[in-house]
Amino acid sequence: MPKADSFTTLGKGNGFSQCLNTFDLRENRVILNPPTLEQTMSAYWNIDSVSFGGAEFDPTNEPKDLICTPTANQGTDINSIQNSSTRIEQYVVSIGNPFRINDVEEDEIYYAHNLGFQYNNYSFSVPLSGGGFADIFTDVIYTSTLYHDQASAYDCSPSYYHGSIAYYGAQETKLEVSEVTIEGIPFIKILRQQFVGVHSGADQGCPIAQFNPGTDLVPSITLHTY
Amino acid sequence: MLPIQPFKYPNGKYGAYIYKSGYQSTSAIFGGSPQHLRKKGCVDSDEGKSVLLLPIRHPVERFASGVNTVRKNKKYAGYSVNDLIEMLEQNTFRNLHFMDIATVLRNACFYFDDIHLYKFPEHYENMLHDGEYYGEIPHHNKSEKTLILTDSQKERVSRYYAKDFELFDSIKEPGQKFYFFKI
Repeated sequence: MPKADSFTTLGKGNGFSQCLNTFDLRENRVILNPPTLEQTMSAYWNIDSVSFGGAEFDPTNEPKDLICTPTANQGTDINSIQNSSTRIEQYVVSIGNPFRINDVEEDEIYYAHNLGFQYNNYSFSVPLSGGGFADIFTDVIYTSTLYHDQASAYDCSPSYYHGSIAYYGAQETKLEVSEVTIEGIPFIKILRQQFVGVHSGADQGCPIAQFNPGTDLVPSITLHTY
Repeated sequence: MLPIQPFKYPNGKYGAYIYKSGYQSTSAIFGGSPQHLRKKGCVDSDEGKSVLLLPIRHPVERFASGVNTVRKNKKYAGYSVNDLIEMLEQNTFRNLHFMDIATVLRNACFYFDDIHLYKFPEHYENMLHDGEYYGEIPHHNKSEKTLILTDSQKERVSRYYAKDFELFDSIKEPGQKFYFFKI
């Protein structure tokens, strides 16, 4: 573990070197596995680097630099495995500003450390048997405190042109959500798989949904010691 | 790299996360994972029009901010401004912080019926309000030191982002409608 210079700071008196933004909890957003204030502070002050699938963000700052430059350790890195008009596969890591979420209904404030990891595995214009094409998306997302509940069951319906069925369009979004902890920092892990397909002929009926896999790789966090 | 990373505003209009044009603030408000879109071209579609609100930052400022950000990372810390410009000019460096907005817009045209442009940061609040978001607006990078480019660097950046300059200069009012590039 990288050793940092120890320091003392009063900051803003809230545990951070800045006032944190506070956002109201929005519709369809769900709170899960939120970090405590102490865990959020640890993620903010002690983070040394983050990596996932070849993407690595290793900021040059020392923790004490955050006192005067609160954004000194913020940024993103992407490792692109495939990148074409029909395939995108990439790993993304990011360190963002911590923030707070105000659950107005429950009258509760939650912290979000805003460390993020993503694996995106997308296929576009995939030919379907019997004619037609599909776009297929898989995201593995590690995020803090809240996620968007956007699962939707398989749905297929015909579209008409001059009174006749022109094609069948189908879509489905699967969501698997779990709680994970990396280096003592709590995360939400989301596996989101989406199929959006069109069968081009009226005689083909609805297309069968297919999905891209996620990844077995696990994000890595390195914290400073003093 | 995803050519466009959309999200939905409270009123159903779409926005796009653009690196170095409010990405941190916008994703903090609306959540970091992008929505997936369906390409247009449906027959007899009775769905409502899809609308995109897009922030456009001055290309030189955006580039300078991108340099500041990528150089925070140890693996790019040793690159000079000239190194980065040269790698972009020679097409040997792909990084979302430097993706031109013209590329984003060309992709957006496949997905959206109406596209509205806003100068960033001047029109950022107007853009959020047009999406009917009236909550707290974070200003994450206020403390970031501004990188000053030399005249020759500005000229090279301007050449590289010529289309983005055309777009930025074309915006006379917040939410101005974008039609197509004059190519």
